[in-house]
Amino acid sequence: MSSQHDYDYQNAEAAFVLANTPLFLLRKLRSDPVVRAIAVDLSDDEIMSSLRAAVQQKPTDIREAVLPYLYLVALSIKGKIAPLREAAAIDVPYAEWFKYIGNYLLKSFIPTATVSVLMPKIILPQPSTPSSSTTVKNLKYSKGDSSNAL
Amino acid sequence: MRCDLFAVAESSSIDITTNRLSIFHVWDDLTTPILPVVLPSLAVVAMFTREQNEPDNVELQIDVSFTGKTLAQFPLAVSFQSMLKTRFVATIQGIVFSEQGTYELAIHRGDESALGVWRIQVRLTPPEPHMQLVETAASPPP
Repeated sequence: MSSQHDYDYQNAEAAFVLANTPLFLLRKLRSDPVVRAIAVDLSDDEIMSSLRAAVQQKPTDIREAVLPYLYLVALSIKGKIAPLREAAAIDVPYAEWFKYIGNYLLKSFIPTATVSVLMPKIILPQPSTPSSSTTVKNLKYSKGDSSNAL
Repeated sequence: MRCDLFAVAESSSIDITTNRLSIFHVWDDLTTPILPVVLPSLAVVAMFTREQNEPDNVELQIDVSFTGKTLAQFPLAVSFQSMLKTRFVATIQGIVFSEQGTYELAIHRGDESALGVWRIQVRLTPPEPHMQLVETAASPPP
C-alpha cells in the first residue's frame, strides 16, 4: 500500500490555485494521474480514512486545502456509489466546494460493471443436413496460435 | 427496465475524466476468406434504465445463437447501485464463427422477450490467391 506521502500533488495544487469554479477543479482533478493512482492503489476504506483525517483541521497550506477534493474525486473514480455517498455526507467546514462537487458526482454517477467471459466450450453447428444436430467441441488453442484469428 | 443500448464491438473504453463510454469498431458484419474464424475478444456493451420501483439487482443472460440454435449462454448480474441507470461491458473471449449467416446475440431477463438484440452477418469471400514464386535462370557471370 502507498501512503499519501508517496504522491506528487503539484498538479492538484496548481489546479486548486487556478480553479475559479468547482467543476473546473473537478475536471482537473479527474484528469490528474496522481488522483487516478490513488484510486487504484488505495482501498475505499483507506481513502475514506485519509479524507476524514484531511478535513479535521483548518488547512494551513494549498496541499492541505486540496486534499479533501482529491480524495473525493479518487473515490468517484473507484466506481462504487456507497463510499461516494458516505464521503459526500461528511461535514467539511473548511472546503466550501466539497458539498457541491460531492452532489455533482452523486448525480452524474452511472455504475458500470465489466466482466470477462472465456468461452469454455464452443458449440459448432454442423453443416446443414436434414438430420443435422449440434455438436459440442472442446477447442484448445495453444499459446500464440493465432491461426484463423482476426 | 429498458435497454437503451445493446451493441457488439471489438473493444470499448470508459473515459475516467468524463465517465463516458466509447465503443470502438462495431461488429455488424464479418467478411472472411476462411471459416471457422476466431475472434479473440468481443465487447458486448449494454446500457439500462429502470423505474424507481423496479429492483436494484437484476440477473440477465446473453444468448449467442445461429439460425435459431443456441450456441452459448452467459449469465450476468447487473446492479444499479440504487441509481436509475447502469451500464455493463462483457468481454467474450474466443468466440468462433463457423458458418456463413447471421449470428445473433440477445440479452434476456429470465424467460422474458429479449431486451436487446444484435446481429452479426458472417460472409465468406473466395480464398486469397497464393503468391507464385517464379524461378528465373541466373544470368551468366560477365
